[in-house]
Amino acid sequence: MTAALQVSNLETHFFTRAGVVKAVDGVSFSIARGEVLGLVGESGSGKTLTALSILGLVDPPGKIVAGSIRLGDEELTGLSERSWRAIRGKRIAMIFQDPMMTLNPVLRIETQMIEAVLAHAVMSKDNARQRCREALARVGIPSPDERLTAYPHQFSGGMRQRVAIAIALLHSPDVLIADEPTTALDVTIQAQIVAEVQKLAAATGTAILWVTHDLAVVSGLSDRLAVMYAGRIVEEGPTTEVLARPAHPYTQGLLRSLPVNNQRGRRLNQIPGSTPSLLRLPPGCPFAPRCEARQEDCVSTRPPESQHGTERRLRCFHPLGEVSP
Amino acid sequence: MKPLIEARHVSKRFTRPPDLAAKMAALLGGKARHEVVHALDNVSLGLAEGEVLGLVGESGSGKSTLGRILAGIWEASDGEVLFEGERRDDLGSGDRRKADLAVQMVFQDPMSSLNPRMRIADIIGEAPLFHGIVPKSQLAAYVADLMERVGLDPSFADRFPHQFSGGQRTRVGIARALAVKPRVIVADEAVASLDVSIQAQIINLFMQLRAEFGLAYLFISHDLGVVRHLADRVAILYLGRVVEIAPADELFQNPGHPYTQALLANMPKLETGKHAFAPLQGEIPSPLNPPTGCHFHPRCPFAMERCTTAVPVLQETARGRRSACHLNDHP
Ligand SMILES: Nc1ncnc2c1ncn2[C@@H]1O[C@H](COP(=O)(O)OP(=O)(O)OP(=O)(O)O)[C@@H](O)[C@H]1O
Ligand SMILES: Nc1ncnc2c1ncn2[C@@H]1O[C@H](COP(=O)(O)OP(=O)(O)O)[C@@H](O)[C@H]1O
Ligand code: SF4
Ligand code: SF4
Ligand SMILES: [Mg+2]
Ligand SMILES: [Mg+2]
Repeated sequence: MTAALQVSNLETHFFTRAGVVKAVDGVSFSIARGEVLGLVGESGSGKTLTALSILGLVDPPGKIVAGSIRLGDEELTGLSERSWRAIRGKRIAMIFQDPMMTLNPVLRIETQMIEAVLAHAVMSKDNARQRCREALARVGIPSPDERLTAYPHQFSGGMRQRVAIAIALLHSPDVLIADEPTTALDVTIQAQIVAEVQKLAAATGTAILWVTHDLAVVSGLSDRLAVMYAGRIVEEGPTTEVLARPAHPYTQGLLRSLPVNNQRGRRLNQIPGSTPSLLRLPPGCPFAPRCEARQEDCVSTRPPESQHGTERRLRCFHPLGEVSP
Repeated sequence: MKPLIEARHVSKRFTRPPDLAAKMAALLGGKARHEVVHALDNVSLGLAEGEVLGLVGESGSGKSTLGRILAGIWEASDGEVLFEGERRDDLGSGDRRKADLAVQMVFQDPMSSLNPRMRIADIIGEAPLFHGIVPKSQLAAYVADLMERVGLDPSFADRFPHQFSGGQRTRVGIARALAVKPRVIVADEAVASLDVSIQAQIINLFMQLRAEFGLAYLFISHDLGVVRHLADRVAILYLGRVVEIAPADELFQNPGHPYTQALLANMPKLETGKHAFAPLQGEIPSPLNPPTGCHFHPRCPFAMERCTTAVPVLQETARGRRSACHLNDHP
């Protein structure tokens, strides 16, 4: 079966005056129909740019310089802006941390939603309105008829994010890209939204890329987990296994530094040092300066992607054994 | 133990002029008027010497407002703040200044709380110089020592805030607070915007400074995992009211109030495996128009007739534990 989305050796670079920033530097993954892939990593690791690349939304001085993005059987890199517009919002949809990136503050919800329906479907305005009403009800918005005539500012942050999700799912997209969609929301609202998205995607078979820096959220939501560091995926595999038996020293370091994995009141395990500048990456493994498992080869050669067991991919010369976090 | 600092029956009201969006809606035929927000409603709690009190609540519950009132940045609309058992407003100017310096804040977004045109050395050194805590001749050494203590390289003293990462700016904010030798730090979401690995470094720094200086913390956070790790006691706020306050280990093991129970159940956990979520229903009501009786009743699975009309009183349910729920009377 072909994957819903297949990204191979993607490179997205920024050509700045200070030099070339390799924000995405050889990223590969695929997501099957109905599957959720979690993408985690610290800020600046390239998660958002991976997402934007898939959406064809990288602006200059940024550019996709290599690799392939396949939506089903169709190659997306190199498409014209016109072809992109026919795909975006229909076959690939997105939700962002700030729902106002998708919502227009001066238009009624109804106006924006009907426009989103008619952009990709031929039908009467009344039918389109009916479709919007159903979409709002599906994401748990009470009395959708009244809500349709409201403006975005009359909604809470959680409600706005629900509207953004309703719009994203209007055309039952093949792929949904979600970039930190619940980060700004309170715990109880976050749990509601995760539950809605989970249900809806299961019903339509939509493949989801869920970008976050919160391991706890993604652990209960995703089937597989990819960990990004300095522009690359350093570990990828089934969520349960990666969390229970991390093989990359960075993944292990992240898990060990979480308060829940430490005894209450004790000093937390911490990864020493900080994220490297993408302008001045060391020649070998980018994690080497902070890595406890580092050996001589790590400093001189970049670890290539390798298969680890049957279901895990890694970029590390000295993977960890069967140790728990 | 006698509290070092204490809020007694503190309320805070804000009169909010219509915002831009509301004004725009008014042009299109909506209503725009001044509105009153009850940010805090009769809050009483104390913080003992060297204690870490976690303050948890959803957005708009009044956490920052309480922190700012305890830190002396804002005045309460009603009620009083006691410092070492004395009403802070009754103190003479010398003692009042001492009381104000004793409580310092560390903010979530250090970028917006650090003057972008000041060098780090001046940001940290300004207050202790002004208040005569160190003479000018010793200031540079004093600042260098503070920078070292919070894990900043003293050779960065001449840099400006934008030349630092988020984690480093948080360290600058902490050094600035420490510079006036406080006894209480109000940390308002101080680790919220930091990455996991940096967050661990800063949490370790907070614990180390507590051990070194015997500091007390009001640790405001929506991250229950972090609060559980650091706090001795935890207070839960909902729409401006304390609904439960208890020792941290007991609260996390055995939450008493239905809202605390819901929060813990909704807390994202590192489960091993994908699972269906069973979220708490409903939205946080608007603080402009809070529900009558118990503010939590529209979302509470145990709500009774009485909950819609009578405000539950915060009362002792066990030694050191208080909660505000009518179920306490009808077990
Ligand atoms: N200066 C102000 N003017 C008007 N209203 C205010 C002001 N400061 C706070 N409020 C209101 O008071 C209530 C409590 O605010 P506060 O910021 O203390 O809550 P919080 O729990 O810290 O929220 P958050 O987690 O979003 O920061 C909110 O409804 C807020 O909108
Ligand atoms: N417009 C830009 N110009 C130069 N560099 C950029 C630009 N946008 C992003 N970058 C760089 O690309 C890297 C990855 O960014 P991003 O994908 O936004 O990270 P994340 O979402 O994981 O926080 C970062 O180092 C960032 O500084
Ligand atoms: S390749 Fe070497 S330095 Fe990099 S993560 Fe693996 S062991 Fe550490
Ligand atoms: S007072 Fe009533 S509504 Fe409020 S928490 Fe208790 S049972 Fe629920
Ligand atoms: Mg991002
Ligand atoms: Mg706040």
